[in-house]
Amino acid sequence: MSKKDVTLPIEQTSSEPSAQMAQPSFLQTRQRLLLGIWGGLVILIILALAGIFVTKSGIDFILPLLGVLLVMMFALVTIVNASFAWLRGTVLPVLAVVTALIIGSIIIALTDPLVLASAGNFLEDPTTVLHHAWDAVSLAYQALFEGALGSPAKITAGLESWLVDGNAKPLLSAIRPLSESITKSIPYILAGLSVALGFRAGLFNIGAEGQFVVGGLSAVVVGYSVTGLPTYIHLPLAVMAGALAAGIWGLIPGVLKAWTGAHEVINTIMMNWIAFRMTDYLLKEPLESIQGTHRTPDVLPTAVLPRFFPHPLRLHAGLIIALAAAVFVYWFLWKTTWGFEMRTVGANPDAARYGGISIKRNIVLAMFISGTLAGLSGASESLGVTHNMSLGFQAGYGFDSIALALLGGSHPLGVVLASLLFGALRAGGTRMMSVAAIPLEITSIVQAMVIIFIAAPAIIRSIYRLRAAKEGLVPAMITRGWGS
Amino acid sequence: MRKWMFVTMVMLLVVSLLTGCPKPATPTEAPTAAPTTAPAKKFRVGMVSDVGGIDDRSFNENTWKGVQDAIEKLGIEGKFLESQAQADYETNITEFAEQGYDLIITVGFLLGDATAKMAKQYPDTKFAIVDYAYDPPIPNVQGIIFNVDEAAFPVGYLAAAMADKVDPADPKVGYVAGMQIPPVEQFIVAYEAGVKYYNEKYGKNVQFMGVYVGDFEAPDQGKVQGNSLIDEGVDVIMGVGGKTGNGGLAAAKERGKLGVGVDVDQYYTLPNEKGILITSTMKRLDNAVFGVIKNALEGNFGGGGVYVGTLENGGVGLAPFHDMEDQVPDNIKADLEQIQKDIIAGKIDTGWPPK
Repeated sequence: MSKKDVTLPIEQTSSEPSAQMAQPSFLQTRQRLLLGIWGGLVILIILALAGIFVTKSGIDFILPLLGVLLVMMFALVTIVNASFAWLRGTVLPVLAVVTALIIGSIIIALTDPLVLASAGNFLEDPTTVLHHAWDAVSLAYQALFEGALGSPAKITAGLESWLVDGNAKPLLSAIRPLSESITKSIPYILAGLSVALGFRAGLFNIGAEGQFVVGGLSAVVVGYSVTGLPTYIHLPLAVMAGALAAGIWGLIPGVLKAWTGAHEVINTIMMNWIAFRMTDYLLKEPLESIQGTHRTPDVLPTAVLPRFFPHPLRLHAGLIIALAAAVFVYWFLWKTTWGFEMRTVGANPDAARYGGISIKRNIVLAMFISGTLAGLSGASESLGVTHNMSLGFQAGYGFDSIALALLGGSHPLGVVLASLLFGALRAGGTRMMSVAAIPLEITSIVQAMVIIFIAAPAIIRSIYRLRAAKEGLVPAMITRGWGS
Repeated sequence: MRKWMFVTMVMLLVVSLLTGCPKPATPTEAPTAAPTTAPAKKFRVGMVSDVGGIDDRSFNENTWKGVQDAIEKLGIEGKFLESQAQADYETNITEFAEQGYDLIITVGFLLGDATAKMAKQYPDTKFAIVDYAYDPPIPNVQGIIFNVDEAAFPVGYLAAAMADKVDPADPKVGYVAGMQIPPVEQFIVAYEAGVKYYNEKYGKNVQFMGVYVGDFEAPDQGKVQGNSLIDEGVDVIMGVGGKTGNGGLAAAKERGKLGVGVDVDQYYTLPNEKGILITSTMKRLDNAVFGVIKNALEGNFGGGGVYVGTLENGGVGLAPFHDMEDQVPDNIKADLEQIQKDIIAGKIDTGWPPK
């Protein structure tokens, strides 16, 4: 494996220029040709869509949307592959997501009761089956998109009523899906950054879920038990409490790894269970507000992460924390000496040691910061969304964030974008379930597919006939294996 | 060459997507869709499950069955939303409320808070909550609670009798429970009281032990705990609480022990373990939910009130013995009849609520 990684780029860099030199004009014409084809196709399709819109106003907006997405995707792939080298890294993740959505649609179609009922007559009457399949998929994905982004018709209607009558309620309801997507992506961003930072340091932090719970609980406890403080002290205090507690939770496996060599994968998993069961216990007796409710008291208003809008919108100030954390992680990893050392340890510990970098210190530091970020994720969820903590607080954000960090290439910007996608999937999944009765698991399948395609890029490359990436996006985020 | 084929295929795909499929769909759909949506707006019921999931073969599923019955018999429209975590309760309720649903049924004690909060946000929407009652009551929320202890007590008695029958030397009854929350404890307390009642009546020493796994969705852990209970010599396993309890029953099945189901007649929901089930402690959520929907539909919504399922009104009860019919001794069957009568008459204390 490693041999391949090393030799491939060299082979390519040596063969590519010579090929270009031999027939430069051919390559250029081919590129132009492809660009022309795709560009022409895009224009054609857009015209066709415009035509459909004008003639048939009642058509589902999912149709054009899907069509545009498909075409844009292929156009993007070709153009990006042909011209913008710096964008090439995004091709694989985007294609992975699209392919996963397509596979998800196949599963939806195959599990639809109407499709199954008519599947027996597939040979005699294939169109009926295809219709049912199409109806099922379009209903589901329309709900998914509407649940994630909102329905354009409702938003314009809401905007109108707000501007004309001054009644903001329809508008708030209409943009709720968007707000919900972003709200759900907040814990994803922070937990994703946590895992991504671990990856950069060569550590696989599976403990984000446990750190999430510890962070959420600690923030809530400080949020309701410390009284008499103004917001500008209380809120940061609660947030910091969550971050610090989870940081220590992450520090433990870090210390174990640095000094005893115990693998962090095993220890973070174990720490997860300790965190889950410990919170169960704490919620049952010591921290219970009213006997028998198994939840903590509500945090005081001074410790609540304020929401930006009135009721149906839950978007809260955790978004600022999340974005600030993303900027911080970028700055830390790429603009500071500590970050450079950490990345060096992740990329090649032997070289790092040779260069005089302390491996131990960096492992411990990385696990601490990683835990802190996951703790912020829990704190933003408990102080921003639930306002107390009860049994069932844990939502799988920590586990999903592993996939997310992979999808985002362990880069803060990538993590933010991937989080928005996962948040949107989660929010849209709710609507898909309520409207089309498609189980939430479909979104889990889509997420899982994304990971498979990211982890095995050869699949995507062979489907879309892509050449192997020149710069190593993928190797950078793979942690070192056992016994390193 | 391959690239050209690929391009052609994609073009075909896009063109067929845009033109082929939807066109025939519109004429076929129009006649079927029109008559159903044209008459007066349907009464819409949304159900929000707790973190156990809609397919827990237990109380979420049983509530959903009540909604499905209503869909079938009353012609309402019903949808459900599964919650994955605490943060989802509020959103899921909001989702239905914002879509203008008439009645929102939330399932489970864990949704108590969120339901109260949302009921205040949407005073015009009707709410019903399973396993919860508000004090003071909220005008647009109807509570649905069950005196499951009334059914659990005789079941505990029966389990003790069966443990005594199969293993007279060292009879033990065990439970594998989900989260330790009052609706689950209500079963356990009454089971234990039933076992004690048997011991007193026949001068035996059937022991009662068990584990709260802390999760409703962990059949694997339920199984592990079931196995360790059996290692301790337990003869009858009572599963209490979603998929976790079912895991305990799976362990009993594998090790040749007896089991007791919960919430629904699990003889029908656990085909694999049905042979070892003595009975199930039933909480007729489906009947209760159906009743609540029917009343709401007919304009008699019981907002601010509470529906209480008891042995007397059939809201709770014992499932038939099924395959165990011949195994249960006749004197025990007679005892069970008597005990149920005594509970209804208030002569027996089921041990719940604990003093």
